[in-house]
Amino acid sequence: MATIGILNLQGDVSEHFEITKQALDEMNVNAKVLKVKNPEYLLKCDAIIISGGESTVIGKLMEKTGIGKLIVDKKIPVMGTCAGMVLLAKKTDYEQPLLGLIDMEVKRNAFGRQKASFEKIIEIFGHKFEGIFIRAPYIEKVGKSVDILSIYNEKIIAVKSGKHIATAFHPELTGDTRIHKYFIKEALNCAE
Amino acid sequence: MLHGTEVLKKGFAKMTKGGVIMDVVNAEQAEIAENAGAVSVMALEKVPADIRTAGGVARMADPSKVIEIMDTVSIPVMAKVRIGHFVEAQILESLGVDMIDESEVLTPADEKYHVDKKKFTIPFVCGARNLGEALRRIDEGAAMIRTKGEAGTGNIVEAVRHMRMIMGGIREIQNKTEEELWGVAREIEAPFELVKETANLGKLPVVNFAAGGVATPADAALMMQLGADGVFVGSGIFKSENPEIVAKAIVEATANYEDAEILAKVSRDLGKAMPGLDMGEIPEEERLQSRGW
Repeated sequence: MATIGILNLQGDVSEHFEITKQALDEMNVNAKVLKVKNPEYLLKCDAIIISGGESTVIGKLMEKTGIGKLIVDKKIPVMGTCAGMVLLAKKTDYEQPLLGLIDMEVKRNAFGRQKASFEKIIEIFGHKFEGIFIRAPYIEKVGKSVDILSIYNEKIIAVKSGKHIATAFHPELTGDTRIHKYFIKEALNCAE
Repeated sequence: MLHGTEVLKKGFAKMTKGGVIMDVVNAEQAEIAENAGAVSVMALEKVPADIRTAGGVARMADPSKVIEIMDTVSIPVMAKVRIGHFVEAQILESLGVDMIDESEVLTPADEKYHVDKKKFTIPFVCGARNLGEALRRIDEGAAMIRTKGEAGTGNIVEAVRHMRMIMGGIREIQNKTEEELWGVAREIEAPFELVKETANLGKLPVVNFAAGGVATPADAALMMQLGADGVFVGSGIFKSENPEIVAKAIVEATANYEDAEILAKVSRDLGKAMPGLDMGEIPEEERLQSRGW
């Protein structure tokens, strides 16, 4: 049975856990969801999701536990939201540990502090989606291997690169499973 | 475009889960906290242990202090206002602070009313000793709850009591019928809708942290095992002998709170923890937790 991991170091892990289970149910896919705290758990995963949270904290703990290196070496599909997106980048405007799995440069807290956090309907895959942006980053630059999935106010807010997906917003806080389903489908090569 | 919605306020708090929020009084401490892996810092004039010794009226920090700290770190910055002091809250919001702690550690400004937190764009965290108090604060718009504990003591006993009161209170109401919940709501002086929501969820409808007396990695892990979503550390870090090492150890302990081997490893050679106070040494009227209701 396939296993989707949710990186469980810091952030809104349980929200991703719940919505991933819901997405699998709706897709009728028989897969497990596993909270991943150490390298042994990661070895069981066919894909991993990195939640929102503080990218500096999650990055440091990934380095400390060795999970970061293992995610890169294992070449499994990764989905990252907000802090998770920052961690997937090659470069940010701040010195911190990154996975560098997507050829992009990300600006942290790019829309401003919490006062500027916002909800806005955005477009992704040609459909409307509830965008929840909390001290959100955006993408300043992408390499040739990266497909842009969504733009808001001339800023790149979602991308895909190989089987990796990154969003600046938080689909896990919406109850809308479409982006998680897309990732699961790509990651597990399964039909919905 | 919507700002300051409940989703955004509660969402911000969710992003801090599993993390450690550290009290800092200047840019240098803020940097140490960020490097150690703090998920956020609380900008203060004095840490609670020093507020306790200094006596007098404790107020919101000087805005230039808050700005100095905001300019130093990339992680969110929180700051405290006195209970009921909505103008201090307006000032902090205008500075761009990411979350306000309406805190019993400062001298209360209003003996009857807490701040109407729904009026603000930025989220609030409030202290609580039991389920009723937590739900009253949530009803007023708090996006996050923390135990009051007894700040500035380095003594975990009160935080444990408050977390057990909150979590035990939730366990008690989980199997009750609707009419029984009406009774509970009256008894604990909390709104029925929130009592019902909490009973259904089996947890508070907002993020629930531990605070007030955390001084060691083991304290942090204890609070996490009792059901906290994360930990505030006040005086425990910068009143210890080796703040950098203690800060890192508490971050690791909070992330790995169920792994006794890791806890043993990070608890070693930390140097002297903050001295700490026994509850018997603090007269009833000097206990910070009895501020607010």
